[in-house]
Amino acid sequence: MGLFSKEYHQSSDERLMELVVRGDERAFAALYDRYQRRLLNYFHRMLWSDRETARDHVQELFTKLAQRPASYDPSRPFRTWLFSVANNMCKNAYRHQVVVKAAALELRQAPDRVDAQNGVEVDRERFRDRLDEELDRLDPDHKATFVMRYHEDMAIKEIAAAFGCSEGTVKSRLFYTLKKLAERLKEFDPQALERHGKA
Amino acid sequence: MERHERYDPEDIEHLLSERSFDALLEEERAYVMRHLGGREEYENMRALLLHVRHDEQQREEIEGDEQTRDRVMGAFRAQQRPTWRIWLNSLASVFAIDEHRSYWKPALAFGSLAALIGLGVYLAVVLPGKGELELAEVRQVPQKTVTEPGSSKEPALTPVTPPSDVAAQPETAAAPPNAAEAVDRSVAIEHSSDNTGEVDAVVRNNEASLEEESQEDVVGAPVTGAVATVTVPALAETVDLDDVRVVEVRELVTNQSMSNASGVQITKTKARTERSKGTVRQRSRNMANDPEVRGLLAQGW
Repeated sequence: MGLFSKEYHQSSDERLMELVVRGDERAFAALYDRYQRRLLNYFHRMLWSDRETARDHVQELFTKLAQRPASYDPSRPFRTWLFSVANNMCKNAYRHQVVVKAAALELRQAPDRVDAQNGVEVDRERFRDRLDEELDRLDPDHKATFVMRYHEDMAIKEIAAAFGCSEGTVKSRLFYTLKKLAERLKEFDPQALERHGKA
Repeated sequence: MERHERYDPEDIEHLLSERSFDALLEEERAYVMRHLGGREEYENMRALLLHVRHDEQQREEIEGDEQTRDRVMGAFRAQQRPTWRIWLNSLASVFAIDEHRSYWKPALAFGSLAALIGLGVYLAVVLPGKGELELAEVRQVPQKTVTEPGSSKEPALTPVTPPSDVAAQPETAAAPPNAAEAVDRSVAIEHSSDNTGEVDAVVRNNEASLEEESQEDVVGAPVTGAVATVTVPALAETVDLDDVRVVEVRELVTNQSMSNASGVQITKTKARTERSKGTVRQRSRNMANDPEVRGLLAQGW
């Protein structure tokens, strides 16, 4: 039995997925509206900051969900399951690149940049670009772990569930990723970065 | 005794987020120094972590477009369509086969379909006709038989005699009703003993000609002894006795089928047919070689 429109937005992801499996279109629309933006930005960061590629992957992911809603495992949290699927799609995208890291540098686009209005803004934009470059050079699992943790603000437990690994593995990945990025980005003034962070 | 650490290496994220190097406790600082190079590295990592988190809040997010949403919702609706529509759409792939060796599949499918259609048409056309036959009214079919007087199963046949002779034959009047009725319905041809030979020969000849014409439904008049009798037991039910015509011997010789001119059909049983065939064939051979018969025929009776 379907729900009222208001109830769709208040229902849990898992409840909505039950309705989707039964063919409830409004439940599917509610799930899409709930996650499309987050997934779009996730794909954008994971796939060389290419907007069109990110949109294509979002469409592909939800199309898969529409065609095979029964593939969802009800025993797992939907959010975790969804990001695990997205992460696997990113890995497949990496495999299709002949040279992943070189392609990442070539595909990197700068349309997302905001025109620098002052020196601080320029430094921020430069730091973003460098950070994205360094992330692209990382191992895909380490990069995905970093993005999920600091961009998507996911808990360690959720990331571990998405990867199917232990929480200790996720923490270890985060530690070594931070250590490596800090070393590569030390050209930027840590104090200035900290000021930006506090600002 | 080895000292048990309170922190794992991966838990340094918590310290990076919460405290600067100077704010760390002695125990925490010792832990950090075992995994990091020193104060500078710790501060760099802390600055990066804080900046990434802050920058994430400042970063402009990408918005999804309506076209993508429409396409995704369209995919969901297409998935929810009834199965038969998808099956109809897949017919195109059945017709357009890439490999020639796979043509047997649609050929088999359409052959089976054609056979089913043919069977359906057959059942629709033929079976109703059979049903009507089964429901038809049962009527007694008139039978015309030619019996031999000596047959025990046939009704008793009595030669037709003039009315004046009826009184002189009490045994005929005293016969059972069936026998009397058979007498009334029968047409008898009686010959004198002088003509028996002639009639016999003519009848044999006629039977022989009938055999050659393979007319199985017509049986020649049997002749036994001094009297040759042609009986039509069931004629009375369908044919008026006034219309019954006495077949003369001449007509019988000329064309026995003339006896059918009144619409009478003569039937016989299978056993009798076989029996008569055997005798007729034997007699026909004898008749053909019999000089007396030839002489009679030459004299024109």
